[in-house]
Amino acid sequence: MTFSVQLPRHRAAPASVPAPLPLPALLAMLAALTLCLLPYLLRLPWWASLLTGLLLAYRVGVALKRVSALPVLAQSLLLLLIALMAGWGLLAAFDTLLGRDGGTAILVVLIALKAVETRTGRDLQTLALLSFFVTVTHFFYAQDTVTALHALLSVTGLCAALTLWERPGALAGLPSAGSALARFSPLLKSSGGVLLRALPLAAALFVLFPRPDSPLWQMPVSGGSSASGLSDTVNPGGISSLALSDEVAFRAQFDGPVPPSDQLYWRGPVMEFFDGETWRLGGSPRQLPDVTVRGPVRAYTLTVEPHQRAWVLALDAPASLPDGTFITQNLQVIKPSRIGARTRFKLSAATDYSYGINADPAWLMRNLQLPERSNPRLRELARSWLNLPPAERVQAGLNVFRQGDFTYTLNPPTLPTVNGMDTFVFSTRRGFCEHYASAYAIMMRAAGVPARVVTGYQGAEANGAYQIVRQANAHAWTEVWLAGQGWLRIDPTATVSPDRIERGVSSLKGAPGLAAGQGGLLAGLSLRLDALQNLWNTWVIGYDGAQQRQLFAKLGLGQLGDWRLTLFGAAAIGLAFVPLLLRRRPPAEPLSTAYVLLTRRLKLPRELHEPGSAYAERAAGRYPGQSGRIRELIGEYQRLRYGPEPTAEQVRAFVQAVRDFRVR
Amino acid sequence: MTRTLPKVSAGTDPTRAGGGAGQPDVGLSSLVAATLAQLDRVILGKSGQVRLSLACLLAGGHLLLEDVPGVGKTTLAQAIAASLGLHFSRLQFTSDLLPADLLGVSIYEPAAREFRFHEGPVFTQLLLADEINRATPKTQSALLEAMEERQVSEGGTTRPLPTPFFVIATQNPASQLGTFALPESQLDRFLMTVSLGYPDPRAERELLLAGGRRDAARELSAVLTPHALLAAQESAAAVHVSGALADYVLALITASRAHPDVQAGLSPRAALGLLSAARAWAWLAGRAHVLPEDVQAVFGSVAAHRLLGRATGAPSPAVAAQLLSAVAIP
Repeated sequence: MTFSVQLPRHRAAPASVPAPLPLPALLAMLAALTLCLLPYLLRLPWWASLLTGLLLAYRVGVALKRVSALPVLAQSLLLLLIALMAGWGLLAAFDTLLGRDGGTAILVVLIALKAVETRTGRDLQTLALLSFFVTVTHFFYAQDTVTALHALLSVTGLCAALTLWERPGALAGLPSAGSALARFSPLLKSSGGVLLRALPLAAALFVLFPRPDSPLWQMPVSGGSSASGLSDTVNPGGISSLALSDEVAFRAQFDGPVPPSDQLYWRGPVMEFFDGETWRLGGSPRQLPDVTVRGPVRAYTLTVEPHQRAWVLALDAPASLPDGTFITQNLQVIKPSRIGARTRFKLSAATDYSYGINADPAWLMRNLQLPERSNPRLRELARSWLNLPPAERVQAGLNVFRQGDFTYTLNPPTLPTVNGMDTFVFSTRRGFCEHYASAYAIMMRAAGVPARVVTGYQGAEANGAYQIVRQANAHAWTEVWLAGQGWLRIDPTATVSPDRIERGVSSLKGAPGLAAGQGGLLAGLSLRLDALQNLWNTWVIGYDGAQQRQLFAKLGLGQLGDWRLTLFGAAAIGLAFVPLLLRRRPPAEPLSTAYVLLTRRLKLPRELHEPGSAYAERAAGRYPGQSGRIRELIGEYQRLRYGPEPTAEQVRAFVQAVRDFRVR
Repeated sequence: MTRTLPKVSAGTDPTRAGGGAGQPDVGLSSLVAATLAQLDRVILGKSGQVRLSLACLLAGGHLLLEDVPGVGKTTLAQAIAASLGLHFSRLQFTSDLLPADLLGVSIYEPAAREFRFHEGPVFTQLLLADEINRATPKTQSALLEAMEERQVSEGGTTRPLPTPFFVIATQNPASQLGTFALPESQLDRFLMTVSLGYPDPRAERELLLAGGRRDAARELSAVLTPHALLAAQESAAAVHVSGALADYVLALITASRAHPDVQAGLSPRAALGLLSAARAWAWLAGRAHVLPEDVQAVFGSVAAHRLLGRATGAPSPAVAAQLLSAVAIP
């Protein structure tokens, strides 16, 4: 490897004289830093991004001598002022400077300030370390392949910048001609080499480092703004806004055959309270529901994208639960600590089941509640079915949609907030799933049949061996309770638009923005990228404590307890430092140490390539009164260092002479 | 070559031969200093280049003078030959020059009924190969082989060249028409490249007033003898090189190999050459050990013609300068 040559490091010359910073190293560091901070510039409040950008631009300008630098004292005061003001501003914006958002924001601004006052190699090193840390913090926001790729690029850039500083030989000639790639390839090779050599250790740490099942600390997340997907209320328009998003909600992989599309109802929050306008969550006790499984049980794995809510989108009806979750009486699988990161669940489901046959009548009363005076026409229509047996009332409700001229559309007209469902059923007749589910549940309640709205996702898109469920698959349906049959799923949308249920939402016209719906090359590419993401989820994100224990069991380490595992991890980290400990430091060279001491006594840093005689002349010029002594000392240094091996006594005498030397 | 030899001959000093360099022999140093002074009187205002040229010869290397015509390349070569008391011959290289014109040829002599070898101009102590890049590659390589081997093989017989044997070749970088540029492998045979450049105005004024220097050069009397030169070479080769200095040379060489702008970095031969040139330079300064200054002083001359630009294919003194300013002295 041509790049692995070990040049004598100029830092090896004893420390404490700040090494001057080569311009290419500084510029490379600033470029790498900018790359590393880039996602934050999009994430921070606009003024903080602007401030960060301006600070970095100022530093680049000073480095290139396009901008004249402020005097040191003025600059320090100004930076302090900026730091205080930015801290105050960020505190106002985030309420706290701790936690994910506020903490990283103040960190980013402080790093930009540090960049401005970067002058020595030590500053550069600090900047690089901080940047490495910032790179890690991006994973607080997303853990996908794009973030990983960005981190890889940032780290490569940072390593290249450090290389340029450590080995200025690698930069000789960089500013001159040659194609950009040819110019930077030795540099990239060398930083790539560093990363490659770190790879085995990183892999070992990834596999072996203990992974506790619950996080050691919870990152406070400001606001609920980052919650995505289903909400805990249903009102008209709530879900259709999701229908335009092709964002992935979760992925599922079945161990056996995939159930047909019309059985793929992924259950989310169940809405039991209706105030005439909005459906809200019903509080449901944590209790095993009475589910009778009739058909086969299918095992599958869910990988849920973070949505900051507690519900696990389990397939109806759940037959077994993953660790760390519980089920409520209305069949919702709940993960008490919200899903704040991509999480994998191993579940099983029975698509053929009956549920809630022995429901508590008192409890069922909740599902008959209907506000007085809301949607009078709908209630009146439903009351006309009261003399029918309940099962026929269910059909009568569906017939309303079947026989009326209803259209399923993603762009329904806006409904009035008062008696909206009346308007929908009797005049506009154009609606999305939540309209149908809501109107139907109102009719059933009015007709004396316990009913509720269930939200979740419906259908899936097969991509190779696994299924993708996107936000566009968000759906609302209805459940009615009939004596002897329990809760029955009734999907009024299916009666209006069977395609929606059988072929999925992408079969509909007027669903723009769905990559999968655009067909052709783009769709193929998008699916392929998703397959990559799924692999990433399976092998990287999904590697959790349970998988680790399985792996250890396979390796015959299964009996290791948690604390032993921690010890093991600590040992693994300790191993990382063994090469550092084993690295043989070059023995301190008393002569060059003394020489550096002399340059400090002279308050005149030596250029790295400056030979002793030239330095002696420079120093003698600075201190004409002592020029003779200076030339003598430096001449003696040259003789001892480059002449025949000096005796220890000679070296001691020289060191003492330098120690005794003072400028006057 | 009328002067008597000084009482210095090669290998008489056991301590020096053992590598433990003492101070350079005082008598020898003063003789060399006198030679330098004499050369400076002939080549006006070019003491740096003259010193480099002499260092090159002291290091036992061949010298390439690269310059436009008329700046005193030939005069310098003649002056060196005369001052060192060397047998000198000059050969103007042309495109129709054949290897035999250079090396010599065996001719049948009817009287003796045998072939007899007639030595060519290469059988001398200092050969001035003028405009070496005008000869065909075949002739060039015949010369370069002689330079490397210090012997000539002809008709199944190997004939050693005289000692010492130096080649001072000149080439004119400005005229590329009808020339054959020396390939890298042959450039590598020259220890140093030196450019004289135009004299500074004061020196040129003196030149104008005193008339041309060619005759003066020819009429110089020898200050040194070939024997003394060999002794000086030996003494220079024994100048001490410390570990720290070897590290510095190594760093320069390694950095040249990592430099993105050159076709190839410096070869191990170049590294050895750099060290021996630095020794000669230190010896000229009367020092018994090599300092980084010495390496820096000769680095440009030793390295520039070996570092061919990736884009231009031409020697790149700029890269050599960059390397010097980028590589730290340990």
